[in-house]
Amino acid sequence: MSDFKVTESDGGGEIVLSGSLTIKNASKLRTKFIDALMKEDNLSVCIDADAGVDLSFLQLLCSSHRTALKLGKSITLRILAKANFLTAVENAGYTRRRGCARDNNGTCLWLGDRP
Amino acid sequence: MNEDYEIIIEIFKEEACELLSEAENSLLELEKAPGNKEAISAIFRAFHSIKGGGGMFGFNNITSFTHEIETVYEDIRNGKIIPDKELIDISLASCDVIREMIKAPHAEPDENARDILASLRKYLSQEKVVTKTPAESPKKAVTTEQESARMVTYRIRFRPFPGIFATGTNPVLLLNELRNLGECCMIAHTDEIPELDEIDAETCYTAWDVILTTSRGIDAIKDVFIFVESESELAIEIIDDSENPAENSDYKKLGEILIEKRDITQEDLESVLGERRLIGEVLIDKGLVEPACVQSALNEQEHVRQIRENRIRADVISNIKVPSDKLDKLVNLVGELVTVQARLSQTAAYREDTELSSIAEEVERLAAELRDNTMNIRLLPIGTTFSKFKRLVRDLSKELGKEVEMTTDGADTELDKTVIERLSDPLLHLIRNCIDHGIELPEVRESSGKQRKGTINLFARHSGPNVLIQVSDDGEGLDKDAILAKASERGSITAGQELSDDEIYSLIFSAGFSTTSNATKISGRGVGLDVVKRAVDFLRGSITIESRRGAGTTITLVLPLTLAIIEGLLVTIGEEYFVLPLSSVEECVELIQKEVSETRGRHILNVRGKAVPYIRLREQFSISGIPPAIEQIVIVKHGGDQVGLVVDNVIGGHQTVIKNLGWIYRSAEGISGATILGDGSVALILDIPKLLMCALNEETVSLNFKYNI
Repeated sequence: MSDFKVTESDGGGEIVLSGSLTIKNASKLRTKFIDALMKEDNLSVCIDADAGVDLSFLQLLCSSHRTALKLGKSITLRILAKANFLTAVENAGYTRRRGCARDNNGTCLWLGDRP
Repeated sequence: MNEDYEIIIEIFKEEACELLSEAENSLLELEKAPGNKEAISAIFRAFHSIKGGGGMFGFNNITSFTHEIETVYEDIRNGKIIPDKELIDISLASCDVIREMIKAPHAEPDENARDILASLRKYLSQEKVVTKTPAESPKKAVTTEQESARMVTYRIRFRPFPGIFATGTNPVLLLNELRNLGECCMIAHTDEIPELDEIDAETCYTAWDVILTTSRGIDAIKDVFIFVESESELAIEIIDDSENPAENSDYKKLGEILIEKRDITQEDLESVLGERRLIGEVLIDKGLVEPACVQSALNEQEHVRQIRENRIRADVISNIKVPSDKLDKLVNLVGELVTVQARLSQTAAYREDTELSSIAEEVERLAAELRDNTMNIRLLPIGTTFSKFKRLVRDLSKELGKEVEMTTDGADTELDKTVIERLSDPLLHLIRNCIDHGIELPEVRESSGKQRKGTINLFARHSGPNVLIQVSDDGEGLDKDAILAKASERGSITAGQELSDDEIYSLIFSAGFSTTSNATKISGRGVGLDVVKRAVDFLRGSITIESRRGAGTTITLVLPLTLAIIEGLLVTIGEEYFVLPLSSVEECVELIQKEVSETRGRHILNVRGKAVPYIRLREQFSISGIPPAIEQIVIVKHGGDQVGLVVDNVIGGHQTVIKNLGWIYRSAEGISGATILGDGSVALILDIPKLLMCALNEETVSLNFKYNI
């Protein structure tokens, strides 16, 4: 799983990420997030069941959320293999009860009952 | 001296004896492996605790004596003295001296105590210094041992250097390593993560606060970060230590933690103290602190509080001591409750009141739960009894010039404390017999192709409502011919009588039976195994023996888990109720008058072609009245034989809370106790072995075996 894939949904508004969502592809993923946020006001990021994530990807998601907040847009996560993704989030210590200071509308991606 | 003080002294004495037993076990371990650091520390701790306790109560003899031996073990612990066999002997003898001192704390030390002290001091003056490799250095060993017992909670703040990803290091893997060290909670600080237009996706922006409770020491934590420490920010602080435990589970306030971690200043805190809201919320709302910092501090509070609570609870659990008579009272009360509950159930059924029946069922469930829990409180692991015999095996085998090792299995098997208390003597006799008669001298064993060292194994396991306890040896086994010859000489069996192996082996439990002509001071007088048989009978248990000439003997004791409750079979004779222990019951058959007349008054029944003798309990207990036309025979097993007990009716299974009959009825033979039934009437519990023996003595029946077991 050395590469990753981005698929845009037919109706727009969602990008599906699969493959290696890790440091190897971090820069490319950043670009994809920038592009997607430019296009969509309400972006849904779907993490495919076969996706592998690492800390760099979690940081990118966090950064995307902050960018969306700044632009007045929204970003939500849709996880197809919750167990794997949640393990990665928990192992990185990202799970929390309250979002960061910039999360003024309670949409933090790492709140206890999400993603 | 007031009563409370006396109770405290009794507790000290009891605990000191337990510590001595532990020290003895560790001494035996140390004898086997002189470098066993755990054993050395355990011995040191035991003597140290006894000394401390003795000092508290002004028992100066105990304090000064244990001080000497404690000093020796301190030197052993520090590697200044190597423990040898002589020192182990002196230490074991010291345990005996201390035990005597505990019994009479104010008595002057006798000559033996003074001699042992002199030997100990000689050791101290010699101080045999040892050289060891650095890896085995005693200092390190002690540190490791201490560390293993010391649980420390650390606050770790880790901010990896930004380029850590480029070095191929995944910081999450480091966190996972921390998780492997102990109980851990962590939160990532993500506040440094910039927006997409500023972020360098290959840079690490995350930092972590970790709270870790571990016994592995700070070095183990530093080892996790060894390759990144120089470039990263790493702060490790101790926030809780089991060696300096807090008196309660309270921990620092949120504000204190945040200040300690430099997440806020004292001024920040003071500025929000007046608010009538949670400090954390106010600090966040005013932008004085990141929410992750507050959550981290809350995590820390919760983690330490939990650790402290667990520690306090563990201390309480490990130290709780309840006088056994209080437990006995509790069992009695539960017994009363079970009886009342049975009455309630019976009344509810009689009145056909559904609401009352439902309440009765609920009470029945609760009473059963309470009964089981109460019985569980009385259960103790048999290991403490097993370990007492290690010293006995060592001393006896030394005295007899034999080499014997004792092994144990199932030491954590639990059974009622009364059973355990009464088991000590029988096991003692069985082990003495194993060493004296079973295990051969080392030369003899070698000449027969065995290892010089014999083995005695004590084994325990649960088996349904019973506990099996086995004492096995790999000695010479029982000599059937010698047993038969002796039994014949004593008139226990008739010449030419054919007996099964079980029957032959059972003969050795007869009073005064011994095949040896030379009684030693250890065994051979024919008393020991008789004691075993009596004790096991008292415990409503049974004994079986398996033996193979030249290979060894296994004696199995089957004992009930508890003496307080039995599963019984409720029967009636006339208006009277009786309970037979279900463990002895094999089957129930009908006794028809025609069969009685066919046997011409001989009390023998044909059960599937086998002649089974029977006893009429109506006659045995002189109960008046006319028996029903069809009586019931409860066939019980005893000592490998079947015997029938004739009763009027069999009512069915009945779980019975046993009540003692009291001293007035102590001489009533064949009755082991009584129980109260649901309607308030009393049922007597039959003691099958005694009942059969009683019947035999009165010659009311002619059983087809001539010996009593």
